[in-house]
Amino acid sequence: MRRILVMAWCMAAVLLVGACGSDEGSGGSGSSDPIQIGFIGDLTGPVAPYSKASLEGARIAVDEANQAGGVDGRKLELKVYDDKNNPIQTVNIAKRAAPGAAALIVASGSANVLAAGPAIERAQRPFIVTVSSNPAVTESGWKWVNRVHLSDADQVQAVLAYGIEEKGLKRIALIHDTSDLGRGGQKLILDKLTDAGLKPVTDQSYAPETNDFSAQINALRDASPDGVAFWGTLDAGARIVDQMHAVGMKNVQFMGGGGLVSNEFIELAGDAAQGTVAAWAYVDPDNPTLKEMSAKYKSATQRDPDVFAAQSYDGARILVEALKQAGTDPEALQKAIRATQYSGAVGDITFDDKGQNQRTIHLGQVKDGEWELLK
Amino acid sequence: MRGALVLRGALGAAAVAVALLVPAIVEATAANPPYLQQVIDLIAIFAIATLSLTLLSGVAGQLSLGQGAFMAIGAYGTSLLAVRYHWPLGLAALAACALCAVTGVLVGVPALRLRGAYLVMATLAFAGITYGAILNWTEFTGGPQGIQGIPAPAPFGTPLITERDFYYLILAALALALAIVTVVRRGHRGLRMRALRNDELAAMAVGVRPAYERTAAFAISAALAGLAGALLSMFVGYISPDLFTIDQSVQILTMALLGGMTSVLGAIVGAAGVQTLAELLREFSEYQLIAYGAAIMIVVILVPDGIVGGLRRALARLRKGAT
Amino acid sequence: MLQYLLSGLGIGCVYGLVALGFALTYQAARFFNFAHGAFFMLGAMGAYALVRAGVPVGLAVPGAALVVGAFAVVCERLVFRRFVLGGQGEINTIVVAIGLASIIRGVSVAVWGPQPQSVPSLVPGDAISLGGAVVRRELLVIMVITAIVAAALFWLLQRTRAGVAMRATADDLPLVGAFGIDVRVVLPTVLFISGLLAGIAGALVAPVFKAQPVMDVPMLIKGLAAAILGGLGNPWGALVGGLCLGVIESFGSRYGGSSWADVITYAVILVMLVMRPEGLLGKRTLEKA
Repeated sequence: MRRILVMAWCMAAVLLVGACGSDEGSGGSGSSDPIQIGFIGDLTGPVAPYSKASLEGARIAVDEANQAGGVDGRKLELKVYDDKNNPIQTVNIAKRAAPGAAALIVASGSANVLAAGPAIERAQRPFIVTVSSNPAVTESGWKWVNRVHLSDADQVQAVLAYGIEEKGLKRIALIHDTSDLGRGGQKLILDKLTDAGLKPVTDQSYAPETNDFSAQINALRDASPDGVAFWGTLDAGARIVDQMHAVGMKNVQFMGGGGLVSNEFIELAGDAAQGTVAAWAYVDPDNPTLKEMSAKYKSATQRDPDVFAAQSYDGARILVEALKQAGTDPEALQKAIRATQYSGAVGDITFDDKGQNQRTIHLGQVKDGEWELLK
Repeated sequence: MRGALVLRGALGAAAVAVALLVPAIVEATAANPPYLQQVIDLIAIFAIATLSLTLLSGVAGQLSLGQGAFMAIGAYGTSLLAVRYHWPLGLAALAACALCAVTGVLVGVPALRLRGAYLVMATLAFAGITYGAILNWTEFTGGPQGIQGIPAPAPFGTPLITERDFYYLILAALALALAIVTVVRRGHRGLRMRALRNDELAAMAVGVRPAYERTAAFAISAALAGLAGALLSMFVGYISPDLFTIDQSVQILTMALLGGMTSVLGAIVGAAGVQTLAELLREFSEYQLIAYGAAIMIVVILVPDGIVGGLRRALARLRKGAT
Repeated sequence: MLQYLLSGLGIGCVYGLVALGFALTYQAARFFNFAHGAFFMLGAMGAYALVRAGVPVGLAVPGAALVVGAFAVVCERLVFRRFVLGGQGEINTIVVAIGLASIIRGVSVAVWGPQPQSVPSLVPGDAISLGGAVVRRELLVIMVITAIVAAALFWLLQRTRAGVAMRATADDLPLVGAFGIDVRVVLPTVLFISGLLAGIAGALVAPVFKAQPVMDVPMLIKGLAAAILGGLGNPWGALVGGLCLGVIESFGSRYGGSSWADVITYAVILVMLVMRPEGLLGKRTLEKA
């Protein structure tokens, strides 16, 4: 019995190695085959909340396009791959998915995008980045990259300008995670403070999977700040502001990036969310595109869309439009994406010649359990 | 006896031939050759990392959850020396492996009195500290942003860019690793056998050599894991701390146990099994965690000495049945 | 100063409760339960699921703990027992527990999603001020529960037949049968208590930590560190180790920078294993070979 099982295992392993190579058809050749769009994200690890939101957003856009008859009579197919936040796996996926796909949507963390970027460049496929905010993604001279995410530099600028100039904050404390996102934000915030002639009263950091922030909160409390600039992910932000309030830091202005603007933040942080200011990626709550997308997203996931869902939705829609204009030829497709003049759930989007999208940054504030447009 | 030797030689020659022909076979049969070749290259790199454990268990009878940390030191050593200090890549990799060996001694000596699960936990802690250091020592390691632009090796003047070119470099390294592990294990077993025959030698072996041997095994094992890390950094061209989390060390241990550590072949089978499983389950997101966990449990429960060990027993039983 | 001490003690109690289960399992069966962090996570997720299903918070917390305890017994019966009785070696047991933890994480993500979830507090309200320092109510409750658990444990291990059996099992597995003590009773009992403690810790801190499937591994590492720090051969060691670890982290972050907190934890493990593998409270004569 055992012997047979062992043999079966080995045979399965051998067979499957072979199968791996053959399951990816050379999509995009036949005129009636679906057009493949590869989706890469971390669906089970620390970045999963963002990648999953992105996936849902992209899915809605693809479903819409298919209901409207697809592109040139061809359906669109979203092929989803989980990289588990491991950069090597992102590279594997890029090599696996790129040849068969017309384009890729990459909703992974920055390290993953930076690792896989060269592979996608070599495969010559347009790719749309929806989660990673590292400046290097659009500063590495890549031809095929398009980012539908705000640059951290612009977000920090907007948020801190509000805190320093309008609120007149003088004692600003800094807290950020030790990932690429937080370290990048830390540098930008420190630069901005220096420009304004300020020094942070304390500079705290934490590992991305931290649950208990008592050490950091103690240090924040000791420094008695009038404002806290936070750069990290939504879940940590909610925990921090909640734990700050619990120890009595209630009149401290909490400020953060676009990732915070979501009802999930308010649900997690509860009353402590009140007054939080963050860069707001989708401008107009009355925007019909956003409203429509929101309703679909909510019925699919029972949650409100966050910035990543909205961006991914827009990214996929930009892709669909470009496919309609230019077809599946990669060169023409990429040209069409870069030339996009699009108005979507997050507002008007255009790309600069490095592939970074340009749009105005607004600020939101939590008032009575809702995000409201501040300016 | 001679027949068996001839058979072994023939099998070995066939294996070498197949290994050399892999890229051609991939090119001819796979729908997406760069991807399949990429997976095979990674399997070979991780087989080297897994061999570092085979060696440790073969000589010292010990296991470590710190091989990912040695990979990290190999990868970061190579990349920093090559990118920041502009060392020639080969020299950088060599120096990084030497650094790993030294670190191996530094870890191995205090770990001499630890056994089994205690050693596993001490090495786990070492892996955690290494990860924390490369993540937080941003001025030196680049922190979470990692190191970009690691050059491709160019052993014959032209840089190895494709997965196919890279394969031969990795294959050469794997052959070297296989040779080292085989020699060390043979030597070790030989010593024990001689010690059994001669009391004096046995006393010496028990009194002085074990500590020395275990430390040496740690050093060589660390250098091998470092070699795998160096290859990985050159192959991917970009490294970041995310590549060297505790999960990586756990994965290497899983590969070793899956394949089995009674034979050097186990490392290759284990690396191939785990990588293949990861690729197959790619599209199933959370279910891959479940399947991965289930696969580990099934193997450990059904074939505690790994796939190769189980196969060997099966073969032995077949042979007995035949005669 | 008092603030850092109190914060450290509060979180140290959480570590202690987790480490206690870890040490008990080790003591009873010489096996390192690498799925223990998953039990903690299940406690938090279980409290979330029960509250969402309409169970009042006051019942959800003990309910989640009981469910985790029961689940631990199932794991013992289906998975761990064959390894402990079969003498398969510590390493294989560790690996099989890692596999189990992976399955638990996968199922949790599939059922509840990867996002953190908020759980209402058993004791809502602002932190309580004690001589200038503030402590969250949840952590005060955990401190009280830790004290109760410590007292109950003392009674259980020192005064009852079951406790004696547990300690005997640890001393010499093969001999236990000869004395008429059934491992098949002791082991599930220990697993139940371990699961219960990890589950109650998880359910209680869920309002502070927010329940999320990825909270398993970090707590496993903390529990391991606390248990090793205190000494694996001694359940008191786990509690003391937890408190010490909490305080070390609190002051370590204060003076060493908060991004190094994890490194401090690992350093504690490494230094203890190398310098004093029997732990702070362990007997020096114990040979951990």
